[in-house]
Amino acid sequence: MTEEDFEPRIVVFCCAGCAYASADLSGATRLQYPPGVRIVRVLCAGRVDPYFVLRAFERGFDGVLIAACHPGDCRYHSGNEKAAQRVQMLKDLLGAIGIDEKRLRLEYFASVEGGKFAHKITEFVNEVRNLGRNEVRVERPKDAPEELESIIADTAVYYCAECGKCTSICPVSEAKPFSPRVTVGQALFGFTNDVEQVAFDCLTCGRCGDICPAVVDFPEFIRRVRRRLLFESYEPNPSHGNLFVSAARIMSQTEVDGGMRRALFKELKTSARGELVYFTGCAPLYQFLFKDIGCAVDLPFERIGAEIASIPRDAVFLLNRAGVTPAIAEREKCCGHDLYWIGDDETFRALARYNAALLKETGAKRVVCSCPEGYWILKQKYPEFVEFDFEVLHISELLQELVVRGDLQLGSAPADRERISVTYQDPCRLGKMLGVYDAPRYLLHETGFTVNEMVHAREIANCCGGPNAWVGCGSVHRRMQLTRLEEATATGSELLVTACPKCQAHLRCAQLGELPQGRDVKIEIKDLVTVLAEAVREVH
Amino acid sequence: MGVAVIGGGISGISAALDLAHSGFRVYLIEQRQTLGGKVAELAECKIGLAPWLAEVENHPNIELLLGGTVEALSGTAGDFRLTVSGRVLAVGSIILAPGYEIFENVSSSYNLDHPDVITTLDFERMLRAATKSGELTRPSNGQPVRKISFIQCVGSRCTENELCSTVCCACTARDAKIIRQRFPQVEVAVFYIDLRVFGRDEQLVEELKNDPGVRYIKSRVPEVIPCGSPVHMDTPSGEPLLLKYENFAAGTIEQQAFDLVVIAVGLLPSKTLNELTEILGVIQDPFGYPATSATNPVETSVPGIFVCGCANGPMRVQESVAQGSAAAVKAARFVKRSDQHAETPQKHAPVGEAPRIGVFICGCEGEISNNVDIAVLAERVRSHDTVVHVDTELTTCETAKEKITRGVREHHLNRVVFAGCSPRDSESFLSAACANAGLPPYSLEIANIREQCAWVHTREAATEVAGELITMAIERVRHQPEEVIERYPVIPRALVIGGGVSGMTAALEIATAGYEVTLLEKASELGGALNTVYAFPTGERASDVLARLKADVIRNERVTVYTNAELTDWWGRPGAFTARIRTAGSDEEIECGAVVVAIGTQAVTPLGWLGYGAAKNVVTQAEFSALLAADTAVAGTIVMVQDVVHNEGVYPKYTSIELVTNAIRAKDCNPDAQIFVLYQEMKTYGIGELKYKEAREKGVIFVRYTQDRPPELNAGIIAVFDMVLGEELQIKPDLIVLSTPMVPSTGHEHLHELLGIPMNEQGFFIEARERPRMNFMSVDTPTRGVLVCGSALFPTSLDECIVQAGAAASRACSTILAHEYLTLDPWIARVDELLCRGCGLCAQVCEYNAITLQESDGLPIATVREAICQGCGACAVACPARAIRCRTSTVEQFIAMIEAIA
Repeated sequence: MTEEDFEPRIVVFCCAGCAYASADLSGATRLQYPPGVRIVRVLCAGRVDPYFVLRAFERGFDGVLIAACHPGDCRYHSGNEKAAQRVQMLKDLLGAIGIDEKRLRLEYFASVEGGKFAHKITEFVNEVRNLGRNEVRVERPKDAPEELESIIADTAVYYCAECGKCTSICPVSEAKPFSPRVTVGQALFGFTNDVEQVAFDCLTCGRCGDICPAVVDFPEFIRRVRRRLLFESYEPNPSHGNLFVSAARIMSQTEVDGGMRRALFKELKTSARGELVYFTGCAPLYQFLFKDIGCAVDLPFERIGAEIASIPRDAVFLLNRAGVTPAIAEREKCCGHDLYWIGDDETFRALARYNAALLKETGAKRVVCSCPEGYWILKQKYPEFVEFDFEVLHISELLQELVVRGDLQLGSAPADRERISVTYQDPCRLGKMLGVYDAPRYLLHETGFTVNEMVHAREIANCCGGPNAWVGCGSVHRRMQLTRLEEATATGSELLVTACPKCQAHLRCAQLGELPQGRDVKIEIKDLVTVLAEAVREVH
Repeated sequence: MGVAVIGGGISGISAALDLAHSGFRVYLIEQRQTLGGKVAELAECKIGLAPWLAEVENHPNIELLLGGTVEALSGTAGDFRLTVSGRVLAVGSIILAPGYEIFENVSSSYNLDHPDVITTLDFERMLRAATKSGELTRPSNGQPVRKISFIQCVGSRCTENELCSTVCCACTARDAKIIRQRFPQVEVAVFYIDLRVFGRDEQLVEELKNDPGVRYIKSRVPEVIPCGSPVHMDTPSGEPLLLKYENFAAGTIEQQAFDLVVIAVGLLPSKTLNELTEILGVIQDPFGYPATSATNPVETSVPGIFVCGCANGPMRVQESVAQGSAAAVKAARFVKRSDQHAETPQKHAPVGEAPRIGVFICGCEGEISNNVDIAVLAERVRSHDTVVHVDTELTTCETAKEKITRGVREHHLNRVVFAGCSPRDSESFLSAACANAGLPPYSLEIANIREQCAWVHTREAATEVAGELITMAIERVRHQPEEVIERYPVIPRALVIGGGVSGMTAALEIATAGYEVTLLEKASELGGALNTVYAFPTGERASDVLARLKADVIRNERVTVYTNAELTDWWGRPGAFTARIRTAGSDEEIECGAVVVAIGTQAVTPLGWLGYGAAKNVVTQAEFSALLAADTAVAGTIVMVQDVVHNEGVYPKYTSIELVTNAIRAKDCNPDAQIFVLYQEMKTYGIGELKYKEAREKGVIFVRYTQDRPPELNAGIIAVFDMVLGEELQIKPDLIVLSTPMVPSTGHEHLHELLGIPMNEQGFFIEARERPRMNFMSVDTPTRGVLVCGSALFPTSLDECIVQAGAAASRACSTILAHEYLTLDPWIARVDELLCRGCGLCAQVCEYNAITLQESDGLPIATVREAICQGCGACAVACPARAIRCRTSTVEQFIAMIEAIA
């Protein structure tokens, strides 16, 4: 971007203790600084949610400065240190999603440092001016919100026979007052507010749709209602400060570089073009996502993030072992799954269009995904929204093919491995929504594991309780997760295998912290490809 | 009938605010036209003072008499007639707080008329200016300063001013720290005699000593030699000022050049004090301060007239604040609460009502209106659909208050946006104005269009910026969720924990102010440390003090004493706590509005130090006091040792004073006794300096050793290296007397967790502070309604314990007990139980122990302890589910603000 003559728009979060006072003193001394600066007072710099920062970039601000007390000066002991940790996390994340990390800065001020305030602000504004405009500007949808009637018509809601099967099977209804049947009923009466209020309670797992005698497409109904909410405001109760959704929105308008993926695969064989392209997905971003806590305590969270971030490496490792060198689209962006499910069609379409073109450049015919959400969205929705002419496979399907063909040796099935029993969590996107049940089980079996099925498995598998699209994860979800974990431990297995990073994240999160006595949820949880890769490494 | 406070410095302000908050009428008399006194001149303090000034200037119970001169007094306590600049005030009591002067008669050898030789106060001003400009320059030529030296004890500890000014060592240390932080290229040297710093300042000095850019040189500098004088021929790098001093370790005379010399001049009583004491008939001590005693540290010779702050002796800002409070609670006894003290109505807008926002724009008498087009702003503001009223006719703080109160009532507003000066100036009185109009405490938002707009930007830009700042404020209040802010009655009882001198004094003060007190003592008898001490350095016998206090406590109908008692649980909110108390035979719950923690400290038993515990002739100073009293301290050669152990506990503030007092007594008992005092720093601060002098006069020999060569005992002989002589001495003592450090009491840890009072590294409590390095507050803790005093904070002397106890009592009354009703601070965090996953991350990040996990329906759920939460928001960001939120700074509000101007 070239240097431009423009006035950068900057948000400055000032802690009420020192930094805000130094801004006051700067003014009282009649020191000038550029007019694009907007100061927001926060009680403590530790209150600055990473979401505030991403949101500012999402909405076109050119820079964000967090102004805190000097180290050791925080009246809340360590808010400034927490802010410093979050800023570091955000800088890494911004770099990965195509925003120059120099647009975010942390500065320390004492209340008497009025001169420093004006000086640092001016210096920052000038630096941002040299970087040029932040071209990102995520807008709310421009057309009018869709009428409820039209949603009802499209999703066959009108045909509800009021039988109540959906509510009986719904995992959310078990945990809190929520009923697909009632929601549908309210929609038919035109009680829009009531319907909108529960729009984010649904996990869109699709169990209701599967058993509905009237083929009401409840998940799609919910998705379209959520879209209505985008006209009002944004997501309520965003989990992890909405980092993923916000990052995806930003990414949809920036140029991302391939550094993150290059680093991830640097010891593996990949190519820029080829028959088969591996779609990495967002797993590498998890290393940032789970660092948003910003505190000095030892966080099991970070470890979860790091392990999920390495799933693509294990997938490519397995492919390499089978003699396959997958193409990687290094500058790949978010697949848009979560944006699709909150009804943000505009962002989803932009991401899909970009990814489709990028994948096309690799010359591949087949795309393989290790994340079920990416798999589902590429397979089901990309062709609907953009030109997308690929065969889309899940990694388990491809690996099965390679094993059957004899290209991949998963294990020589040593005698001692026979005794290791595992259980398998069917991810909703992979199982219920695309019918892939057998490939993962086949692979586990070929590796030498005994698969013990949970009470609810395959078609009737229960959801991991993951908050859908990173919105509203709470006690309701944790209850579901704990119940699911208890089903897993009841099988007597040593390991719970899942093929979805979100299943893993949420089930492992549910295990954190102290639990009431008597709840047995302690079981190791790993991704399918991680388990397979470990076994292969061990054997060879 | 009110209270007259004479002096508008920090101690006077502290007294006035405590009285006003308790509902008493106050006349604050200040000779100058501005408030703030000397504190306003200190580099780090002026900013912190601003909110206090705003509060004083806008408090309805305080009448300011700026430029007022006290002319005459008649009547007696409870019915004084005080004439101030011709006006006769009917006052029940008077608080003297005229502050201090600095020593002016500095010897000409220091060349104070050289532009680069300045006093501490001048340096404070310079430092403030330098911080603003980012450059520390020499007054003489504007060149950057590279080497600064501080010369301590000029105009104190000398014949013209015999006292030690107490504060200078700490003040210099703080200045040195600031210099090193902000101007790291500047080197600092401090020339001193003894380092009289305590507690946190002691740590600060240790830290500075480890800084290669700071040198502490134990040597006094006799003169400052400016450039051009015959001896100043060959400074190596052109610094204009040369200091010559003796290097004790090397035994040589050395010289060093500096480009700025700061003279830490001594403190003297205010010049007006002589006149005032004469008018008021108050007796002065030989040094010009009003005479007080250790047991009545703020009471003058005239009943109903009190003295506080530096008019009562040199002291730090924090101590002045405590003295102001302590004087306030005593002065209040002579007056009735003013009728003007009306509880604010605190009715709240019904839940669910749509926002009706009023926007009030202040022109600030041209400060804003000259640079911002208010008519344009008003047009812009009217376009917001939730704004139902816009008023642009505000010009002063007074009109702002009036118009807001009226506007809320007339237009049925439930949210208010004020656009004008910084909330640091206006928030306190404007939220009072909103409360008066019946609005809940979260309904006000201030757009700072003066300090952060009109004073910063050009006219074209300023209007635009102001418009956006107001829009942001509108969005912030518009998205402020309605909270049910309950108004609950205050329980007019205080719980005092600890039955030592501080606890008993606090209990008596609160009881005398008219409230019930429950006094908890863990031992079977009241008295605490008084039971183990024989006499105080000031001469009072501990048993007399104890007997008097105990009798008063037992006689007082409002005080209920629990002995063998322990606080086992505690919950509730400020003004309405419940405490569970276990005694030998009972376990009961007591309701109380405020808690005063006075759990004292405990002495380290110095087992094994110089033979203590093994040899009979090694005793502690406390034990020696008892021996002296019983006349059994007859020993030919006595060796007293202090500062010997550094890794355990802290030495109380009175250590050196106790030591020299006992040395004098021993000499008085047996003039032939040979007394040696082995020490590192002789910290006989304040009036204690006289005792030090007296001990020396009586022939006590002082031997100064250094940390790396501590005294050693071998075969009955003490060997010590005297750093002053540069020689090793060998002494054969008949008696060894050890000064012992103190460690926190056994209850510190427990109360830290239960009441949320922070502790320092040594385990003593820390008071609430604006910032770690700027602490005005002396007895308040971060937990509202919980006060702490006495040696629980830092082991200290009798008079200081009594002052702090009085201050804690005063704060308990003024912040809690004097109010009929209270509401919770609006900002505290709250948990959405449906969203909480019970992962406990919030509890891990909370610095205050304010979050606990409670089981609810089979899952742990985070619960906020409302009394302790400070609203910092750390938990709100940490929560992965964003289930915990700060009520007045929600995600929705911030996002709305960003959205509004995107």
